Amino acid sequence: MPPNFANTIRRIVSSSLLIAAGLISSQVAAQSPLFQPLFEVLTHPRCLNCHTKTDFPRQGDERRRHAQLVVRGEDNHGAPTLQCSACHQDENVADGAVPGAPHWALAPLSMAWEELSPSELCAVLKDTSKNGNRNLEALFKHMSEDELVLWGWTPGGDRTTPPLSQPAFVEALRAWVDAGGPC
Amino acid sequence: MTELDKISRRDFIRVSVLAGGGLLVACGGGGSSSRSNAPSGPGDNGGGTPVTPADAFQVGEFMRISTDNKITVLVGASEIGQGALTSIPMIVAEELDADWSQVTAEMSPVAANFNNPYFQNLLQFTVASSAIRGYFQGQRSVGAAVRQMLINAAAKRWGVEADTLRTEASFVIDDIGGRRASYGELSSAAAEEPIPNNPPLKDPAAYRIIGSSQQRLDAADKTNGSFRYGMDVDIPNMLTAVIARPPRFNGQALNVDDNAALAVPGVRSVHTILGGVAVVADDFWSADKGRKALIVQWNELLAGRTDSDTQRNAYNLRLNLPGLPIRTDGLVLLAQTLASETISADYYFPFMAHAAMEPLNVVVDYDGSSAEIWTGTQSATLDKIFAGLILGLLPDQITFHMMPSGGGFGRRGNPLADFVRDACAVAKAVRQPVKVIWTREDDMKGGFYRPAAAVRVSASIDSANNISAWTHRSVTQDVTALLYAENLLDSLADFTLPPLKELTDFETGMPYKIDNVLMDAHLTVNLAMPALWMRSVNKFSDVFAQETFIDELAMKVGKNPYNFRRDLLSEKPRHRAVLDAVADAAGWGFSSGGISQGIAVMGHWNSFVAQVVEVSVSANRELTIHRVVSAVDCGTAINPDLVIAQVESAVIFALSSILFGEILLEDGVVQQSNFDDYPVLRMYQTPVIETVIVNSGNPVGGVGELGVPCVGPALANAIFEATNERIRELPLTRSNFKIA
Amino acid sequence: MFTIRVNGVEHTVDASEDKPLLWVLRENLKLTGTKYGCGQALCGSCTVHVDGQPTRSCVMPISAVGNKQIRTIEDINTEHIGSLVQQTWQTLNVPQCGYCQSGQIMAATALLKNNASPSDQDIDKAMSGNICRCGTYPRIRKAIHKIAAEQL
Repeated sequence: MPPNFANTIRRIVSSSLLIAAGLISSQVAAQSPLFQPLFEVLTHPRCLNCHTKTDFPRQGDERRRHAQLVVRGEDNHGAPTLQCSACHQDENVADGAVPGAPHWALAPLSMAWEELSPSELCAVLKDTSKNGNRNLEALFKHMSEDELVLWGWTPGGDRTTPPLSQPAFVEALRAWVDAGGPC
Repeated sequence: MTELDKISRRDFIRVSVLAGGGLLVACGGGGSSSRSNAPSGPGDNGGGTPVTPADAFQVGEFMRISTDNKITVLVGASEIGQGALTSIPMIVAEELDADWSQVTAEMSPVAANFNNPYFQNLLQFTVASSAIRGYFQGQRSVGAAVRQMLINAAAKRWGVEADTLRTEASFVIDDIGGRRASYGELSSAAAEEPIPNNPPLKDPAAYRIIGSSQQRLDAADKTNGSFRYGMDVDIPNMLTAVIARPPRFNGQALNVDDNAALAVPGVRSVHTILGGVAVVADDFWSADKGRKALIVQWNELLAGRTDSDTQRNAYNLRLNLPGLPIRTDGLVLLAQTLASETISADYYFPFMAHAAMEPLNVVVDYDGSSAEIWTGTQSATLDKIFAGLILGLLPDQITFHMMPSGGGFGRRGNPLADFVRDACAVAKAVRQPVKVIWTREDDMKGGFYRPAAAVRVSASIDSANNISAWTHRSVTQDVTALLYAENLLDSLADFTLPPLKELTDFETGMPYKIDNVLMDAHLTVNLAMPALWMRSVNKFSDVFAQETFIDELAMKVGKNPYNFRRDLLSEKPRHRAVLDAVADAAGWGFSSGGISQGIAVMGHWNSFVAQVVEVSVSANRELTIHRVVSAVDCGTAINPDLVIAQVESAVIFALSSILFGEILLEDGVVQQSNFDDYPVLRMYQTPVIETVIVNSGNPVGGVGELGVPCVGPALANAIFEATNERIRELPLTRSNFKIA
Repeated sequence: MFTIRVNGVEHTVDASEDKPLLWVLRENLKLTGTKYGCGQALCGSCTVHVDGQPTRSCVMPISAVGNKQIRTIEDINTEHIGSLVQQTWQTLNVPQCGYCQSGQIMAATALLKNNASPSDQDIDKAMSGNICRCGTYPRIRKAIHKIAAEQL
């Protein structure tokens, strides 16, 4: 398949997804249709379970509290002697039963996304005082290349993946960044 | 009268001089081989000199006193965490007047001499909280006899009368002559002394080891990694195997495509056995990878199709039909007719897995003419018999090492020896030492669960507001049915089935003074659904129903649940004593701050227990269990600290079952696989646990299961106190309760 | 071939890269004090120290070990606190079947090295990854408090 054709297909698919997403989630729709697909991805359990506003991570699509009394800890890496890395390796292990990726950890509380509206989440995402001082291009790089972010699309086991494919997500992200990050 | 009873004490103990000095006490020997529970064969020479290496173990060495004053006691009961390796030697050491600091313990070989007297000396079988109850008296006699022989030897040496001597801490002491000799020094001479027929036993008031909270003898090895479980056995040239088992019980491998499995580096061979398909490899990881690469088509013609929901409906229907009566006092029907009101309640309890920390495993070294087997088990005698059947060997040709277990809870006491049979089938195919390892998933999905149960309880109240009738009906699976149906047993000529009455005893010992009582049971048979006893067996479900319903009756007649029970226990002093003790220790009726209390009481295993649970329930149904207080009367506590440890253990084990314990079957397929979908209690969920021992001075009772049954009803009663909701099914997650 | 450092000693082992450290310790190095319980980091029986941090060896591929220092139950007595934990476990009759205790002791030692006076909450957070079916949790808690109160 010639790459330009594949790209065309991808664009069609992503724009139709974009429209569909806009239709099904009118209640929490972002004001900017360009942010809406990103919102759908960022609030998927694969992302949200570690972008919690609580002092613990969550597990599963039902987003239950992480078992074993796992806590956020002072540096978002768990309790001092029950660190995320006690179990989570740099890759999925045990046939995917135990998920893993490099620098596995909770996102800092400043990047807690739980229960945010699309416009709130968008604002938090762009706020350099909260997002690790990342401008839009740095955000693009982080969200399209970071191995922990990429894990969301290869989560192992029977875990579900975000509603957009990873390439479609990158395209949607590109479009949003190119448009100046409208919320 | 059992055969053992007919054998004189003189035959029972055999004493000889150890090579290189010292004293060796053996029980059995002489005419004892007639007590062998195994079929006799040409290799059985009557317990005399060994003819094969395996036979040497049949001699039944019981205790060693070496010249350096060290004493080793061999323990016939399984060490499954309850402390048999400590408490049983304490009994011997007491009557021996030994220096406890010089006593060590080892697991005994599997031999008739070490059979559990509780099971009429037929078996080494550590179930039904029977280790102390079974072995207590015999251990005392042996200790007392050897002590007398040591005294006699000293009397000879010093030329004095034996009755002028006394013993203390492994020394014979002559107060008049002002001299003393250690047991070690005397041991060789003592071995030549005649064995006393009826050595005097100590007055319990004189006990100095029994009743003391000694440190466990295995404590050090269990904290430095050196304690060896079956899983840790390693012998030269040993291979490792895992077994692919059918998705439904009793399925059979039909077609096996093992090409991909054999292509996994390290995989040696693949064998179809009765229980599944074994993948044998150089190490565990290769075997497990090989198993994942297997493609097996299963014949499910005879496979089990048990479905949790369907079975529940069927059990509930059967609650309407009369069952096999197990207790009938008075005239229930008449009392019900005359009653002003009869109320009833139905309960349901699901299948549960034992989930011991050490997954099942067996090492077998079989060379075609003899075998050596290592496994953590509660049922070594039957395991060994089944191993012989599978391998085509006589008992004398099998050396069976009963390893300490990383938990048992009944799963390792399977009279059908499922895990040993599987491993022997693999070994027979491999003819090389092989360790069969069950993964956690194998263990969780492998069956032999606590069977599901339905219970209906009813009570009639007469015009004077008294309880005039009580009925209790259980529907559950007969956990012994498989054993009796198993055609493998047909070939066991001569073999006497173990006395299992105690284990399938459905009588809860309903202790309350109610004149008219009818208890009956339906024991269903389901050969394609392996069930087995699990810690406290049917008491878990039957006592739950009994003790929550009694609470309902108390409310009904407007009485405090504690006082109501107390009044109805006027003729049960030991029940009453533990009930009073727990009420006192827990401060019954004095909880505050949104904490609710519940209480329950029972007696079984010749022991008694009452428990108070304190809970608070949040608006979103989160339970916080604050405290569990227990009062136990086990007659005589050999080691009070280990009794308390067993109660702590039982409370936590019970809470796991009550809060989360559920194995679900859908069309014959078990849905749980590991500790993520079969959670058990963790540190942060554990309440404060307080235990008081009520010392009644009665004969020894069982302790291992005692703390389990009352926790559930006491908690359910506390939840009612908090929410006005009655719990009729377990686990509590079914009622949408969560644990904080 | 992998070279790993266990209890201060370098070992070269021949194992596939995905073989978990647990099975390398148990089978290749014959260090059987570290136990297999679940294979999915759910029970904590296989806990060892990796550069001092409690880690579930059952899910750590040998290829991920690299130059990290592994310490197991067999060597924890060489650390002052590890030795205290073992002794107190014995004094209070903590172990029952004992199978989970290697993991519990490794977790407790790390906790006490990090925190000389852990609260009940600190204990819950550090120890709730380790399952004990015999129910020794109350005694584990008591032992940790006892060491902190009397010896640290």
